[in-house]
Amino acid sequence: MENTERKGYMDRIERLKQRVLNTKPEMDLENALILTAGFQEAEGQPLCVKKASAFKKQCLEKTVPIWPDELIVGNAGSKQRGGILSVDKCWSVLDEELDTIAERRYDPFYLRPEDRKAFEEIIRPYWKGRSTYEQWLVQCPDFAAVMRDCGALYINRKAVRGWGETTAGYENVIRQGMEGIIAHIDSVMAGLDVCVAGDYEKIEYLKAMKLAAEGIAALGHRYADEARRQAAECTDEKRKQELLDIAATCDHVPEKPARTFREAIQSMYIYQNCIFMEQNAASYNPGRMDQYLYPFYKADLEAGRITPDEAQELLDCLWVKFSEQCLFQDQVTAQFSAGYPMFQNVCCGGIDDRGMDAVNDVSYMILQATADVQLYQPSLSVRYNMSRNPSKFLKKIAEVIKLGTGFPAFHNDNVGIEMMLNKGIPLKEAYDWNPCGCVETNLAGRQRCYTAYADFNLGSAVEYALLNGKSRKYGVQASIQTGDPTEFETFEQFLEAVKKQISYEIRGTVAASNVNDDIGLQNVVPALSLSFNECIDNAKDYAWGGAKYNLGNGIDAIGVADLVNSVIAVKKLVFDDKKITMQRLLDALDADFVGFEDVKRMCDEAPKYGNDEEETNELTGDLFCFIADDIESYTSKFGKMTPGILPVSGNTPFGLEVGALPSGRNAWKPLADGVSPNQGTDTEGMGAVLKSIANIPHGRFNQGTLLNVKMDTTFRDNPNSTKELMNYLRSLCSLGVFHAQFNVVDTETLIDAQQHPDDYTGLMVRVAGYTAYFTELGKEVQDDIISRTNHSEIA
Amino acid sequence: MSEKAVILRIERISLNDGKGMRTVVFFKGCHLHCAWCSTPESQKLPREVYYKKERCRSCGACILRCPEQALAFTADGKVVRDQKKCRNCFRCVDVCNFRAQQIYGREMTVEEVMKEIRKDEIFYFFSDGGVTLSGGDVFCQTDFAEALLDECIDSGIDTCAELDLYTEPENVKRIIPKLDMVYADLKCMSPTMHKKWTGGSNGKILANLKLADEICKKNAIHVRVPVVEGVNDNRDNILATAEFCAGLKNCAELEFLPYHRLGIHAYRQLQRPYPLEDRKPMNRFDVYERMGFLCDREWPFDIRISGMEVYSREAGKVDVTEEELKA
Repeated sequence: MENTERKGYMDRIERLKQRVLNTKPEMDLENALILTAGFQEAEGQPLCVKKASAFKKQCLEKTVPIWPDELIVGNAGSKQRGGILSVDKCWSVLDEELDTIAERRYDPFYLRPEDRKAFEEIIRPYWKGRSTYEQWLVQCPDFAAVMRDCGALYINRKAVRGWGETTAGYENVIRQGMEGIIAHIDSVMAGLDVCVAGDYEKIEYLKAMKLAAEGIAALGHRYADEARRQAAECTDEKRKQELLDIAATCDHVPEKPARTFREAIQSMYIYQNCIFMEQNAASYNPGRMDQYLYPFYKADLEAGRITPDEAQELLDCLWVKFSEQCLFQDQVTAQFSAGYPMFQNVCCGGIDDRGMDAVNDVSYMILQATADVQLYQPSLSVRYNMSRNPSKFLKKIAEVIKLGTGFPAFHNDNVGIEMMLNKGIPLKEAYDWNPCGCVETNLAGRQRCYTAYADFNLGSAVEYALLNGKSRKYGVQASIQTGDPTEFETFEQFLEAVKKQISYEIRGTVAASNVNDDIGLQNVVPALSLSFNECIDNAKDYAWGGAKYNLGNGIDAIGVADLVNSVIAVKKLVFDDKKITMQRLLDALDADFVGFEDVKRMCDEAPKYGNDEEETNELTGDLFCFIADDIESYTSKFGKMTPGILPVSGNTPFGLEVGALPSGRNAWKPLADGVSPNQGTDTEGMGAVLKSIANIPHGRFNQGTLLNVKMDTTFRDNPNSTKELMNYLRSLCSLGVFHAQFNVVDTETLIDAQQHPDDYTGLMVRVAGYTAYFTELGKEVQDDIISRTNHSEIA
Repeated sequence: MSEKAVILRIERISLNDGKGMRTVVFFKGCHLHCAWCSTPESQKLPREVYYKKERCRSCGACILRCPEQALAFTADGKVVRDQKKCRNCFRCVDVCNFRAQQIYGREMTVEEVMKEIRKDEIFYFFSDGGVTLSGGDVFCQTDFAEALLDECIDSGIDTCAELDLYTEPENVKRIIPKLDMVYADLKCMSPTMHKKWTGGSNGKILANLKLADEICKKNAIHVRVPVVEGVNDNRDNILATAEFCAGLKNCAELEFLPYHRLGIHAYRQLQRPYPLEDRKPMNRFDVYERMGFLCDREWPFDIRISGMEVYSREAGKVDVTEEELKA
C-alpha cells in the first residue's frame, strides 16, 4: 500500500473500534416503548400522523448517548450495539423468542429482565392484533405457504422487518436540511384544499412528514445539548473542545443545510439513525458518498478549513459508527442472513450524469477508511467503469481487496447501468445507480421496491421434478405434479418438468409479494419518504408508491450451481450416455447415495458448472434466460417483477430442506451461494469460474448477481498479485460479469478460528454480499465458508 | 506428425510462468529425473495410475479387479501397489467408486489443447499473457509441441516454454524460434554433479543453450536455477552460472528458485520414495544469502529470486530487506 505509515488519528480509531468489538449485541426496547406511548397519545389520528407523532416523540425523548472519543455522533437506540424491534410491524417476532433470543445459534441478543418485563406488560398488550406481521400470517396465500413450509420459498423476510433495501435521498437532507424540506412540504401544502376530493389524505400525510422533519431537526439539537453538558463536566481541554465542536455541528445540522464536510457527514448520519429508528431493517444504503461529500471536502480544503488527514479521521469515525447498529430479526430470517448484517452499502467510483469519470479524492478516502477501520460495516462497494475510471483507482481497489476484509465488493459499472435500464430507468439516471444491500441496484431518493423480497429454492425445483412435486424431507405434495420421471423418454421432457417446477415456485413468490405489497400499504414511513422529492410533490408515502420510480419486488434464485449441475448430470447419465436408469438414480438419491457409491461417483464425475465446459455453459445460458423471462412476465401493482441472484446466507437453510441431488450433493448440505460454483467443484480455477458465470445474462438479473471468490494468502503474497488482480477484474468486466467479492483468509485460519473463537473475535469474512465476524456466524455457515474452494493456483 | 500427446494437466491463469496470466500446458515425460523434482508425476511419458489415500474407503474392489495381483491391503487398511507388477491397465481406476485410484495424464490432440487455451484469451488480452509449455520435458513430444506452437502463433497468442534442453540440436532449432520467451533450466555447472543429481550430463544442455541464444528472439532467454542445498548452492557454481549467462547475447534474466518440497504429496500418491527426504526447504532469504554476492557486480541481465527482483541490469543492486525476502 502507498500509505504504510501509521497516521496519528489511528489511536482514536482503534479505541473506538475496540469498544464496538467488545460490546455484545443486546435488545434495545427504548425505541419500541416510546413508539407505543406515541401511538397511544395520537389515538384517533390517521395512521400516518400517528406514526409520525410517535416518531417525533422518539426523537424528543430517546437517550442521546455520546461516547468517549467520538467525533461523529448518533445512535438509533440507547445502546451501543442494540437490536431494535419495530413493534408496529412485527412485535410478535420477539414474543416467540423471549426465552431463546439470548442463546439462539444465529445472531443472539441479550435481553435484560427489565426489558422483558416492559415487553410483556406494555408492548404485548397494546400491539396484540395490530401488527402487519400478524395480518401476513393470516393472508399468506395457501399454496405459497405450503412451499414456504417445505423450504422451497423464503417469503417471510419482509413481513418481519421494515422497508430497508432503499437508498434515501441523503443529498437532499445534507443540502436542504430539515428547514428546506419543511419549506418544500409547506409549498405543496399551500396548493391543497380539504374541500377538493383526495386532498384531505394528502394534507394529513404532509402533516405527518412535517412532524417527522421537526423531530429530526430537534434530535440534532438534543445531541448538541448533550455535548455541551459533557463539555461542561470535562476536565480534559482537548476533549472539551471536541465536544464543543460536536455541539456546534449538531446545532446546525440536520436542521439547516450543511456548510462543511463535517456537517455533511453528521447530517447524513443522524438521518441514517432516524430512518432506522422509524423501521428496523437492513439495507438503508448511504450510496454514492464520494459524489455527495466531495463538493464539501473540496470547498473546505480550498478554504483551509480542513486537512486531508482531518477529513480522513472524520470519515473513519463515521465508519466505526456504521458498525454499531445490529439488525434484529427472527431466528429463521437470521439464518438466511446471519451476522447482524446491516447492509449499509456505501459506494464509490463509477461515472457522473454526463457519463464521465466520477472518481475523486473522496473515492480514495472511502477506500482508505475501510482499510483503516476494518470493521464489518459499512458494506463497501465500488462501481468500476473500465473505460472511464483511472487505473490508479483500480489499483487501490485491488490493494484493499488484498487486505482480506472482504471489501470492497467489486461491481462492473456497465452491467449495473444495463440493469437499471432493464428496470426502465432512463439512461441519464441509470448512470447514477448505486449498489444496494447485498448486490442489488438502486437509485438514491428515487426508487421504491423490495430489492430482495424473497428467495426461491432451485434445489427444491430439481427435487420436485424428480419426485413429481413431492418434498423428500416432509413427504407431502409441496408443488404441482409434473409427471413420473421414470416415464420421461427424452431429456427435454425432464428439462420441461424442471422448468415447470421453477415457474411454480416463482408463481408462489409473486403471489406472496402481491399480498405483502397490499399489507405493506400500512407500513408508512414519513421520515424515510421526506428525502424522496416525489414523495413530497405527490404527498404520497414511500409505502404507497410515492417515489419517482416504483418497481416490482426483487425475486432471488438460490442454488444456481445445484440446478445446472443436477440437470446436466441427468442429461449425461440417464439420457445421453445411458449409464444408469432414472429409477436407479431416484433410488440412489432416496438413499442419499448410501449403497449407491457407483452412482455417487458418476454424479460427481459429471460435468460441473464453473469449469468453463461448453455444454454446461449452454445449459446455464438457457436456464437463466428462462428464469429471467418467467420472473419478468409478472407485473405487480408497482411494476414489473425484478430478478436477482443473491443468496445472502440463505443457501445454507435452503440446503437443509433439500435431499440428495443428481449433482452429487448429499442431502441437507448447503446449496451453492450466488452464482458461485458448488463447493469444491470448480477445479479449473478462478479464470474458468468467470468464464462460466459469464453465461448467465447478468444485466437481466437486475437486482444483482453475486460471485464469491476465495483466494488464499499465497495469491496476496505473489509479487505481481496487485497487477494481475487488476487484470483479472478487467477481464471480469469484459466478460459482462456483474460482481465479485473476495475472501483472502486461508482455510487453516478459518478452521482454527472455528475451534478457538476467542482468539479470533475480530476475524472478518465475506459471507455473501456482506462481511461478518466469522466467530459470530453459526457452524453451518462457517463450514460453508471453509469448504468453498481455495484458489491457490493463481499464485 | 504424432496426432496425440500425453498431457499431464493444463493449468489456467497461472502467474508464475511468464508474462501476465498464462495457460500452462504440462507435457508428460522427461529425459532427466532430478532428485528435487517437484512434479514427479510428469517424469514418465505414459499415463500412470496414482492413489489418493485420503479418499480410500478400503472396499478392496481394486485389489479384486487387478489382473496382475499388483495391489494389496496394508496393515492400516489402505492399498499398496507393487510397481513392478502394475501394467497401468487402469482397471483399478474403473472400479473405484471413491475416486481414490486416479490417472495422471490424458491423451489429447492439438485441437483439444487449443480449445482449452482459447478459453483464456480474455485473460491474455488484459495481462499480456499467453501460453507456456512446461513439463516434464516438451522435447519428449517435440512434434506435438511444434504443432501446438504453430497453432498459437496462427491465433496471435504469445508463446513461452520451460525447457531443460536435454535433447538433440535439431529439436532445439524447431522449437526455439517459435517462442516469444524461453525459460531454460541451468541446474548445475559441474558435469559430474549434474549427472549425479539429474541423471544426465550438462554438456548437451550448455551447447543447446548457446544454440538457442543464436536463434531465439531478442532477449528471449530467462535462465532458471533451482537452488538446492548441497547440490548447486555453492559460491563457485552460482558464479559460474552467472558468468555463463553473461556470455549469452539474449539472456534477459537469471532467476533463482528456492528449493521446495511441495512435490512430496505427488511422490506419496505415486507410492515412490522421495529422494531428498532430509533436505530442508528454502525461502528467498536463504537463497539470497547464497547468491547475494552477485548483486555487487555488473551483469547484463536482471536477477530475481522467485519473481522478486534483486538486481536490475539498468539500476544495479535492488535494495531488499530481510523481512521482504522472508515474507
